Amino acid sequence: MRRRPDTLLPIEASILAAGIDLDRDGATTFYGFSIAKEIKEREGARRLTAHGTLYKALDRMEKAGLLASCWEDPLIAAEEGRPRRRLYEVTSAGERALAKARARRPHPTPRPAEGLASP
Amino acid sequence: MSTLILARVIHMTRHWVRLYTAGLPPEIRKVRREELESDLWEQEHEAAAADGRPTKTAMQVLHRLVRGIPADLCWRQQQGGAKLLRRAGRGAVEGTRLTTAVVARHWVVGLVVLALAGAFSTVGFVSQAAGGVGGSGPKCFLHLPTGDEKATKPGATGR
Repeated sequence: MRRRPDTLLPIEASILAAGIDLDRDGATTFYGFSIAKEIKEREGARRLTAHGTLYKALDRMEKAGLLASCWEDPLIAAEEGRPRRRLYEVTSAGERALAKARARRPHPTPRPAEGLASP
Repeated sequence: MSTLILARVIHMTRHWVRLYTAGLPPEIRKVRREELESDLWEQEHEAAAADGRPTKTAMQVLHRLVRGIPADLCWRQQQGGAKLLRRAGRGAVEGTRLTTAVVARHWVVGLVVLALAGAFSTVGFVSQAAGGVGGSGPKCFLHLPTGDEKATKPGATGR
């Protein structure tokens, strides 16, 4: 089933939203595991996103211009004794795509405010 | 023992990544393999720092591996390559929903199968480690030590 152009899959929306939240918290870039953790916390999921699902989505989003990536400085990774990370950031196209996707989502019916119920 | 289980699961995941990226152009293959290597390291070390329960971490890594297999095959098919993997990728695209539903319902069966495969592999891994076999580590995924192998190892005590 082909999707409409300019639509986001749920995982893509989750990645963009989580990436933007991390940026607001001071982390301008994120890497695969960090975004999986952020998605799990934001959405209250029981498990982290599967490897295949996550990295396929990141690859697709980068090719679509929603994310940009670069490799971490290997010296930093070497100093910390770990493999280097592939760092991603949300592009302005990604921010626009998320805003558009959110605008398209149907709004939930607002509940009446407490205290205004009929007698 | 639980640390060994985690090590085996991580090894299985690496093995799977090497398998489905085999035959790809070097730059694409390298990126995927290194990204997964980083992910595995991060998950292992963060879990160890948090609660230090290797078996729980092993199950989480296994979950992520198994649930991501259809997407891995689909991605591989999109990159092009071996006819077999292309066919598998097309099958994964067509059957992704069915696979997800089956795995979600029968994940226990899938885990048992993988656990058995891992257990066989662990027997070989532990035997090799105990016998001090040199070289580049476990020879294959489902290696089982034979009596001849134990007898010919120098210094083997043949327990």
